[in-house]
Amino acid sequence: MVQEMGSDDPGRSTRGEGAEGSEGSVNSQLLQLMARHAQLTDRLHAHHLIGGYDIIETRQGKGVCVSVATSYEGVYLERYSLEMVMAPAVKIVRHDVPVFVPLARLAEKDGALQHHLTGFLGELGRLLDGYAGRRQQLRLLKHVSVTVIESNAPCSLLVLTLTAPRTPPLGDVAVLCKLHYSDHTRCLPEEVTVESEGRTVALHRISLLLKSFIDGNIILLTMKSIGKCLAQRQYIEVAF
Amino acid sequence: MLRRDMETARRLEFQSKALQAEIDTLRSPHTETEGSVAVKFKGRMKDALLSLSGKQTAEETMRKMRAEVEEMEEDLERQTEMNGISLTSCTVKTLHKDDTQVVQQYSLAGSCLDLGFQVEFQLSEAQGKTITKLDIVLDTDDMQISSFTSRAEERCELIQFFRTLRSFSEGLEDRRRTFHHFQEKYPTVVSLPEGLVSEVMTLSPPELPSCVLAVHWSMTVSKEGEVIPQIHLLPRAPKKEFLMDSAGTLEGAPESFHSLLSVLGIEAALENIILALSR
Repeated sequence: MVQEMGSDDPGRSTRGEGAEGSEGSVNSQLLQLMARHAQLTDRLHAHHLIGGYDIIETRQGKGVCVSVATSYEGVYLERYSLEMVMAPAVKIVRHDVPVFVPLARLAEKDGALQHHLTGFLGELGRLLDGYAGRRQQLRLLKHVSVTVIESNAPCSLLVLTLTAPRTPPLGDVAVLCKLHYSDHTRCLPEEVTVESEGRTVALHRISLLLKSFIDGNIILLTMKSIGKCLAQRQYIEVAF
Repeated sequence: MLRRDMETARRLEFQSKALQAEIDTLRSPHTETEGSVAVKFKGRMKDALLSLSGKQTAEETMRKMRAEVEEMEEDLERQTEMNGISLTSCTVKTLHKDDTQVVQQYSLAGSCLDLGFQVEFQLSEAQGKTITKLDIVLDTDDMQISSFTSRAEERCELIQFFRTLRSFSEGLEDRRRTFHHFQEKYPTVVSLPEGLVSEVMTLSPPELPSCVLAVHWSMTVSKEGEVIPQIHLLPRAPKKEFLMDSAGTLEGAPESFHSLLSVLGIEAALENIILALSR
């Protein structure tokens, strides 16, 4: 720690007086400010990391800009921003939210934008998270040779193909999977249809067991095992 | 005069070294694995160092530093208010640092409205940012949020946890405020047998105190973090009391409450039932 000035000068028993004393106190004050600066930097960064809205004032205080964070399994993904003016009523003037997100509907639901801004942003966050998560899953699938044939903009209707191996001497079989996510806040599909060699199985409301597997890479393994069963003309137990 | 100058120079040099050591401790407390810590300073912090080593006037630096710290304090207040999260402590430790990645450990403590939390997570910064470990301790007896919290910990869902925590605490606050409001307004009919921070508010007509209707208001949290308040009105009275209720108010109450809820909302529906009981 920093030593106090003036303590080894016998002619001056009180501190804080004269050039040396004030310099010492200036330095220790500066130290304190630096410590506070470091502490504030850490706290502001923490707010950002826990998904804070990074609010800044715009238009000479008449507007604000917030950004909504998204992530999937701990991986930070895009942030989406909105600029709003606060008076006479709260109105969104600019944003980079994807066009398929029903911003107007969310804003008007129970007057959320006007009376409960954090509620509105929370709901928006959940929708954006769902989208970012599904898109991230698609990115991960590409690494394990699953081909995405079709995907709509919100990644809520997907058609994938993959090759499922079978026990020799049977060769590999092509499997077609259709995934439908009806709840756009979720990264798990509600409906999965699997087709192979003319046979189709529709799985409605994926069973709890499958649910815990439908995730990034694992969706591939699940689909492969279902495809394999289909190809071998086995019946699949589907639990609702 | 010369001796005093030399002493001043010596003290300043000592202070400067002590300051450097303290800064190292503040920025990365436990990096015993590294021989030396390089701390890059920019802006006001750099000015401050320059000032302390005599290369810039202290007063000027002080003024600018104070202004920047004030700005940051205001910013922190804005973030705190907007995010609904108040941080009481925040420490950062660098666990690992090389050319490809930096791994830091964050320990946060604070509260969301009145709900206290302690969160520790590891942040890995390589090509992008990833949370690689998450531990959460919540200061609440309400078990509704615990299965979601465990799942969030497993999947390192830091952002999603805080988003749900916000909705959850707002819901609890709503409930507390509403219960308090009705207890104050209708003290003869309304009572809170388990206190303000509970799921239950009981209603009974003043002339038949053993005839009780209980309002159960719970905050359910789905696995995906959706917070859904569920409110039911349940009778809690012996059968014979119901027979005494000739107007049929008590018997029909749960159903009429349910329909009022969807039409009028919570407060108006509760007010309605309470007024019916007061007559």
